[in-house]
Amino acid sequence: MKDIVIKGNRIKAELLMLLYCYIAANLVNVYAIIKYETSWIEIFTWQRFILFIAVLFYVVTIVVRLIVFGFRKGMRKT
Amino acid sequence: MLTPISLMKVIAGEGNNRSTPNDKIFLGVIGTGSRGHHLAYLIKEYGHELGMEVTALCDVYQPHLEHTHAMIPEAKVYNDYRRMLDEATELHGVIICTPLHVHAGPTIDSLDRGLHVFCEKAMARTLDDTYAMAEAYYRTGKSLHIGHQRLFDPKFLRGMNKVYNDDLGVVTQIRAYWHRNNDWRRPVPEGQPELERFINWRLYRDYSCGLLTELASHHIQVANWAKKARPVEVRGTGSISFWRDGREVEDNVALIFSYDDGTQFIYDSMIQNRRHGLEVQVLGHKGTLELETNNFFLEEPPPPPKPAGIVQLLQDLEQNVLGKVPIGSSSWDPEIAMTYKGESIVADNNTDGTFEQFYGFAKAIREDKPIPGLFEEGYYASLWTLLGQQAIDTGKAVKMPEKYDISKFNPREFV
Ligand SMILES: NC(=O)c1ccc[n+]([C@@H]2O[C@H](COP(=O)([O-])OP(=O)(O)OC[C@H]3O[C@@H](n4cnc5c(N)ncnc54)[C@H](O)[C@@H]3O)[C@@H](O)[C@H]2O)c1
Repeated sequence: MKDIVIKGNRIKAELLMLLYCYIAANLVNVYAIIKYETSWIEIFTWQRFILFIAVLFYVVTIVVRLIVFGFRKGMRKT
Repeated sequence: MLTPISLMKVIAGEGNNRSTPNDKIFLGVIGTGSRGHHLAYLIKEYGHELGMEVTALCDVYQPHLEHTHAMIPEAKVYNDYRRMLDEATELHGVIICTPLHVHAGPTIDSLDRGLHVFCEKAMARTLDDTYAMAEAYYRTGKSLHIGHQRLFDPKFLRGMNKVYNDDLGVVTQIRAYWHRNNDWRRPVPEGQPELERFINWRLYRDYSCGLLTELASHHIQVANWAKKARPVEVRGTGSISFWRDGREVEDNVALIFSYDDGTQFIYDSMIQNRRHGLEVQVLGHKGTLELETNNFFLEEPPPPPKPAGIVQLLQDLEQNVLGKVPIGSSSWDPEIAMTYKGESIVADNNTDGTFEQFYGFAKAIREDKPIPGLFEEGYYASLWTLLGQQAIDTGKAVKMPEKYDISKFNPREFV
């Protein structure tokens, strides 16, 4: 069986992506707090939910990247 | 004047002048049937909190007397209440739990002997007996406490405070009902059919007005209390519609008591369906009390707390993506009951006021004077149950005859 090797660069890039997703999720939370005039404390009290949304965003980026990757591969073959 | 606050203070023990630990209150119980036994039990178990003790028991029916005597063997026993009043000289007060038609005699005789009286509701079988009890009360200056325990029930006291504080706005209607599903019969000992009327006195007109004196009396008291008034007129109807077993009292009644300010108190009672149990609802333009179930509802419910911003954002997104597109709307929405759950009147709803009544009775005995305004609540509730029965019997609107007005005895204490 062939070992899958994940390079350090890859891991770094993915962690960076996760961080962007986390920042994006927090920005969405800030937007919601301003829009619905709720309490700023929600920035802290809703962190678990924000983490969940960050992971969701990250999953979305994976799906998008897979689609783009597949699309490019297809283009190269033709 | 009887205010909910003054009764709350009584329950809290304020003003209960317990001078010495030895100032025991000795009580006699006349009528040791189901209620008398229960009250004697409460005093035996918890009476020490109030320094109360049952030292004499009286009943004309030996099995009941023996049953309660077995619980309080140290009490002296009597078959004739007059003998008890003569011989049990230690007594400070009596508790009367005889059938309705046997309330007036023991009450008046006890008051005349300088005793304080706790008499179960309703006061008496006839208007004249009820009035005679009132006359003895005012004449002797002793307390005559009628067993409408809701007067000492914390949820009713707090609820009444809400009414008086205008939390309900203008109260224009009160509704109450008491529904059961049983024949209301007590078993008669085998081979002694002659005891039928004695045991099942509730079912016969000579002794009782059935659902009115036994149940409605409580809710009429609450309605008068909420209105700080007595009705001006009652109309009613009733029937024996299900339990056609030889009884003489209705098993199905409906009445409307009208007050001077236009308020209507709508009451019904039946014993062939228990789906709705019992309730008394006080309806104002700003709120509703459902006292038996300890609930208070505002007409304009407070808005529910807003969810977090992020949740609202997601809800909006969901609505924008999945929201229904209206294709038409009805011109009329059925006005079904509000789904808002309301709030509890009291946090701990663990008593119905039965024992708390004795806080009031103990205070009256120790101070050797009645709690102002308390008797009048019992009097008018009792009187209007009998007038309600008259309305059912005659099919006419009935008013209170002037001669039964007791404000002449003590105008300041009039409810
Ligand atoms: N406040 C309440 O919630 C409540 C509840 C139940 C009953 N009650 C009232 O309590 C009273 C008694 O009801 P109950 O269910 O106990 O009835 P019951 O029939 O069980 O008891 C009545 C007792 O009085 C006795 N009695 C009759 N004539 C007597 C006399 N001349 N001297 C002495 N004893 C006599 C009977 O033998 C019987 O033991 C009624 O007025 C009823 O309305 C009030």
